[in-house]
Amino acid sequence: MAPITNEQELQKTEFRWAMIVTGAVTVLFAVIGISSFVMALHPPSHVESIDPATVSQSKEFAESNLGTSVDPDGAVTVRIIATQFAFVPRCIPVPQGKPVTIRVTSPDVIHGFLIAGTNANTMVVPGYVAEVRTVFGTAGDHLMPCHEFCGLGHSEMWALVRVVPQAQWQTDADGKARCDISR
Amino acid sequence: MNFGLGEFMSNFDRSSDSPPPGDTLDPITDAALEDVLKTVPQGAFALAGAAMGLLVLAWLAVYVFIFLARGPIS
Amino acid sequence: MTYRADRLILAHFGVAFAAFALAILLGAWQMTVRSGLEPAFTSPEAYFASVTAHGTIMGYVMPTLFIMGFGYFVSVTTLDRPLPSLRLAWAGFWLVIVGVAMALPAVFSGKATVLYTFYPPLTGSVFYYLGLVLVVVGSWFWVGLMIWAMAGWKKDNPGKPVPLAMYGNVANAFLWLWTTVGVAVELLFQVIPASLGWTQTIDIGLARTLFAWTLHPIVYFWLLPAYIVFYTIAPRAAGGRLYSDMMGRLSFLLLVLYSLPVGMHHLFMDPEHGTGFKFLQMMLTVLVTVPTLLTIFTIGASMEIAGRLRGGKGLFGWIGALPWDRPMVLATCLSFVLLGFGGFGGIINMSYGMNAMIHNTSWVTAHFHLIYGGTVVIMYFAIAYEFWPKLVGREPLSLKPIRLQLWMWAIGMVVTTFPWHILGLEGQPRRVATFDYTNPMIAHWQNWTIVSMIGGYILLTSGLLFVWNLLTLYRGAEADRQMHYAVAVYPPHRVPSALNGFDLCNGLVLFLMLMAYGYPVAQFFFIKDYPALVHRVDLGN
Repeated sequence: MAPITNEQELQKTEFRWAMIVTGAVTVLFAVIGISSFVMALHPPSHVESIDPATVSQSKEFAESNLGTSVDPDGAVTVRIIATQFAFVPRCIPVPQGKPVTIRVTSPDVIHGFLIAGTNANTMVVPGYVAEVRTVFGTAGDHLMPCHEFCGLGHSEMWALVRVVPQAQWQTDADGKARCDISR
Repeated sequence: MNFGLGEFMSNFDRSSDSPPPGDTLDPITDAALEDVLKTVPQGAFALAGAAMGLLVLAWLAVYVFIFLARGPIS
Repeated sequence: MTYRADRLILAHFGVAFAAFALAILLGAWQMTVRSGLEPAFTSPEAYFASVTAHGTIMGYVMPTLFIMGFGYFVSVTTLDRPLPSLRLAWAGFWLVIVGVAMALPAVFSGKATVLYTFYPPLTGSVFYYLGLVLVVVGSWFWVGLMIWAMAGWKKDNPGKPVPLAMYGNVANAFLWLWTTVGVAVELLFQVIPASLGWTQTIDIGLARTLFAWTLHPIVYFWLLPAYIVFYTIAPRAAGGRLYSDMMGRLSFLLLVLYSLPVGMHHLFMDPEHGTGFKFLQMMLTVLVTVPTLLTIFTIGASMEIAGRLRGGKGLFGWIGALPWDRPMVLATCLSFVLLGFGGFGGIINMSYGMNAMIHNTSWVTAHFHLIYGGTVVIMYFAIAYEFWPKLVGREPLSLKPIRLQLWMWAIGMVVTTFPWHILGLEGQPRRVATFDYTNPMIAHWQNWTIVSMIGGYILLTSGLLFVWNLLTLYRGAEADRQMHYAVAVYPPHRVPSALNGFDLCNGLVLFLMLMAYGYPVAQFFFIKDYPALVHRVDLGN
């Protein structure tokens, strides 16, 4: 590099650095952009509203309909209510290596969950049905804590996700899976 | 994508013959400054470049080996 | 420096650091609870009240007061003219004090256990929210005074460049004004009416979006004094020159522009927004790394000038030649290292889909503690060590305890936050009081949590040593009370008006905010959504 003898030359070095920064930032854009548009990786962003006052009377989130169900076409959907201070149901079986859609809502305050060791993660906001789509690769039990402060009992609000190898995966006649029968 | 940097730069007054405004406590002589500006900013390029390179590599490693390895999300 | 505002500035700094000492004590206790060691007073009520107090002080009280005091100091010393109105400055200070006096008792009595993010529909005592509003309104007095001070100087000095430190200071005043709009609207129109019992429901999607508006740029409001010092004080402390005055101005401008329209990256995991605006704000968030990446080069080059002037040779030899014994130099270098770690966590958080990997885990807590504690507060320490002697006219007795304090703070930050990164990747949620470590699935978390607790006590010790260092200063020898700022290699004679004022900047911010938040906020007024019932935390539901 030539020695700096005037302001113009000094600014040239800064301009050169700005180009390097542009390169680094372009790498971030490219990786995120490609995985988003080509691999369809997004944060869960399904927007669907629901009246929190009548969640339990709704057809979808009635108590008998909660938990894991397999449709006739094989699609796996998990329905959960997050409420102060528990998830219903507390144990959620899912098949290993198959696409799973998790639909959650809250009748009271803001909750959230993550499934440890996986990318499954969402806020659960009263007034909305949060939907998370993922594939569980690792068989075994995964903890599912509530991850947003929801009141003084928040620390006790944990569920369990049981990822069942496909060979052991079973459902009952209605297409429902439960932790006790899937094992 | 240069965030308008070039344009800002061209707007600058480039004359810089006059000495820095009177600051009697500034002990740096023009000769000494001129001398170090023969090498500056090579060290800054190396340091900032290494730091930013490591940062991008570490980010890429986490992206590929932890995030993508944990499966799809949408 | 003919004009002074020493008592005003000391009042701001004094209250800020007193509150800070209390908050780090709470932080260390919280980590002890999380570690499962069951210290005295362990209960969910005490834990979450403590988290609320820690966040409220560290987020709203300490930095706001510190930055106000910092701004007054910079204004008086760089412009060499009195503050436009000392009376209004004191009025702003007392508004903040009254606000704190309203909010903190509500928190400590357990009537406002909603955490500093107060996500409704959880709703606490109205005194908490009104207190916070007063803190913000008091800080608006400061905003007005800083803008007024610069305008007055410019009128008397037509065509001259505003001193860089003051330019950055006023950039922060405008940044803060824009930042507070979101939370002010949320508090005044949603949360306070609910907490007074006037409304029974709250639109949660709107409340979260308005809060996100504030929650990201507030971090840049805390950060800007550190950047101002990097550019205008650290190069001189190191015995060198500022490499480029222009890059300072450009960085401050870009920080204001790109820290504002990005808060929705806090809502990546939220169900009230679709992918479109999340993706847009992700892109803008990537751009907010640019001013920081530009800064590390310019400050690196400034330090290189100093190191080489002191005889440093070779590609990296100048680093060792820097005067590491000077607190300002040491703090600046430590701050940059911790900014690297914190920035690493941050670019992972903002990476759109990857946010799902760590959202609301201890990883996030690690990230913002590194940025806030590691990058920002360590520079607040350095600023206090630099300004305090000039405010009280006393030299420190010895630099040794000052260096020890700074090193302890940096090491404490690393020991506290590195385990949180690991735990976060393993799925440990933040904001949980106690864990069932008898569960074999998480038993191994306890060791890492205890390590980070030890880091917390190192931080506590360092923080108390900081207060001790300031107190012992009063026994020192008489000090030179003149403040000197760094000189640029090529001092500016004339700068384009875009980099000497904020008209263009504010216009661009308005445009970016309308683009980034226009639809996301407006949608709540025309989509079919349902509000949630208010849940009182202070009345036992």
